[in-house]
Amino acid sequence: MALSSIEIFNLSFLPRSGFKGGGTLSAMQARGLTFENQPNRAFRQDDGTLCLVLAATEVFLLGSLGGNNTRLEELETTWHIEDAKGSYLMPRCHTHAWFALEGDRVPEMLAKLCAVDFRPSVFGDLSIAQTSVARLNSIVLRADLEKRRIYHLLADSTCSSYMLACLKDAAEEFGGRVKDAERLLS
Amino acid sequence: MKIMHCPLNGPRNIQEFVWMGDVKKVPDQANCSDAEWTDYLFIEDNTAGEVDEWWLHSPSNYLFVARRNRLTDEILWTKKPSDYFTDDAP
Repeated sequence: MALSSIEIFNLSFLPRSGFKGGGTLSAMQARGLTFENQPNRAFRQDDGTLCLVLAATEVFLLGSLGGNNTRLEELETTWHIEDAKGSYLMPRCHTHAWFALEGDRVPEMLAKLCAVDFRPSVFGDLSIAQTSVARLNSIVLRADLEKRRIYHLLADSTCSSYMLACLKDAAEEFGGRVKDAERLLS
Repeated sequence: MKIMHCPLNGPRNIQEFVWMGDVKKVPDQANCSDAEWTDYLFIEDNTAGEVDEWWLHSPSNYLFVARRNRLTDEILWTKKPSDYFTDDAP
């Protein structure tokens, strides 16, 4: 569905997690996640979870939009440092705010905040950019929902109000506004 | 805008990077003198010319090696540490 205006969603209430360490990729694959060792690429899981491979030593997991997130919870609760898999839990709910952006002109809007080219022809579905957005270290992910082109933005949660203000300011000239997350989850 | 090529993330604005000092050979910690250890930790040669340096891509916390000409500020190349220590280690 083409959207002429930009919609901003705050998804910070949804579960997210991560693991880091030299043994992370093999440990996660052994625990049932499906992905390749391809940094800056995301992989959809069968339950709707998104597995973001940030490096050969790190994954960031985004919970399913409106789906069942028991798997994510299970990955966290069954992790024990004593297992010594060289993989360490990074509880991302406590570190990263999560926003989503929808609309045909999102790449133009993001160009006001970031130097990376997010045009759809360049930045394909499931691409990741670890970069600076509005001068904040951020992770930008494109993960389409069927034909809806969605850009996810993850940034330091202690700066979430600042980031939201920057997004609203940048989106204003494109008719952008914050919308209820239910609109994205529906 | 000055661009640096991160071996993990590709070309990025230079403002995303942090200089982390010269690449130096680590002295034998068990047997070196205090002066040698202090020199390793705190003293830079400040060479005017081409130098291998540690750089950090801050958004991804990725550390890599770059060769830079300090007279012209030209970045000659960047490498993953694994490639660097195979090819060029001091």
